[in-house]
Amino acid sequence: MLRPDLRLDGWCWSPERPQERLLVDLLVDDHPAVSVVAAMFRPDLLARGCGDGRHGFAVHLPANLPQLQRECLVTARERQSGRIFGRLLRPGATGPSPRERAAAAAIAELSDDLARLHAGQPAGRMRAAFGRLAATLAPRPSGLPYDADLLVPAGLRLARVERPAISLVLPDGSAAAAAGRIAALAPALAAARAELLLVDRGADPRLALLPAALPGLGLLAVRGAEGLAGTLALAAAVARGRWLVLLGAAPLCPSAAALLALARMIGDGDGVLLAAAAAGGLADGMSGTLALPAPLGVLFGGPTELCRRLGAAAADDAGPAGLALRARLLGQPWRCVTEPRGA
Amino acid sequence: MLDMVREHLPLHCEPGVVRLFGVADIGMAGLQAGWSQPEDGHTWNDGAEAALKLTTLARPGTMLLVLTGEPYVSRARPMQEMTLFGNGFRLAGWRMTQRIEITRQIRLEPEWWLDRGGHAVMNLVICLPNSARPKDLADGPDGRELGFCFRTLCLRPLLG
Repeated sequence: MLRPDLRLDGWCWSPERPQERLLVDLLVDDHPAVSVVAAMFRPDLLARGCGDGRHGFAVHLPANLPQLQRECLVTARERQSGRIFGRLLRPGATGPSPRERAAAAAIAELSDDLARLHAGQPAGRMRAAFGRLAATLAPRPSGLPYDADLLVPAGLRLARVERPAISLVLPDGSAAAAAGRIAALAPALAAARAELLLVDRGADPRLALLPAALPGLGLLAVRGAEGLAGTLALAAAVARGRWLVLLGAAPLCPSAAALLALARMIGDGDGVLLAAAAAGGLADGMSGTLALPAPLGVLFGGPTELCRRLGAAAADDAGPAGLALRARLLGQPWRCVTEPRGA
Repeated sequence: MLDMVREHLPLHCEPGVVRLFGVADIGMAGLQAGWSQPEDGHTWNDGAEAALKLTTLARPGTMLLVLTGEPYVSRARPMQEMTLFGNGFRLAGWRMTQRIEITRQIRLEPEWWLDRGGHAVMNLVICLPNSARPKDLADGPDGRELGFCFRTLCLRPLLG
């Protein structure tokens, strides 16, 4: 967690080197900012079985770093392994511009009007896409033995997909719940050439252990990256698949309906396959076609396509009256994407 | 025996790395005299002077020594003064009157370091003349002579 005074709290522990105090490098927009030995005692780590619990850190980022004066990406990396275990987006010191605030208000307004979102062509395409996706990814009943304390179901293997067609992003939560959902999805993953990215926002430290036990599982750390745009940006940045799916997106995003708004905005073609929402946010006609575990999230075109669409929309700037979202994709700077209302 | 040897080793500080006082990281490394036993996440001084031996890479540029911690201030001991000496140079001095976590930055010029065996060495002496035993002040049973609770230390290269 990054506080407004630039204090960053976190922890770093490796089950492969459980006694070791790991050295954490913190980078701001890929520039080394400060390093810290993760050796602070945290009772929650002890309770969760992370060594002796002395693996936390709390450090202030240097306030004079020029990168911190604007929106930036803070990365936490364990030095010896080089493994990145945390990323977060820090808003600029100036806060959202009036235009961005107007955009947020527009999204909120649209979020309250689901009927508008479900009307017309985009919803039709989404409905058809639901069927295609469901046919590909429908989970099958799993008879795998599962012990929550062991985290990883016995006999569960995830094959690493070299060129995944789809990247599924699984929301955070308890490690036990995540392992259960992985077990349910695993049989379908290989058939669909899908990779699975587990989102870790620090809710359960054991989540960080799952990728070590399941080599094919990716870990998407989004600590501090709050809101739709931040989560989307990180997911799009690390996903390798041609399509990006946020499963159970409601915990990741402030409003499932806002996801629909975004899907509609960028879905002016075949790029958007699917937009669905958690309980209460999904039209009946659409939910009937779903075979994925609810709550379902949103599927966008792959990173490249999404980036292209956002770029095209940005060029067609409609001003503050339009629907807007900030997005940062694949290393591109933040931008304001707009679309005329009702277009 | 090994522990005794370790206690007399200097604390090696890589520039830019925040080190934590206390049992889990610094431990007794570099703590020469005038220190309490390290605790979880911090180490108190014990006495009016605490000596700390630091080393870093040879020929360091200008750096900031960043210290964080909390002074021992109470109603009976409303103020702590701290003066820092490095290899005989007076580096800085402060007066602290609030029991809150503070951060202090001390500029270290390259010529203040000693060159020893390919490393730059700094013998820090931290003077805390107002250190007091809490038990003498009816502030608990602690018999150590406390002045400052050290939490982190970092040698930060001065940019530009």
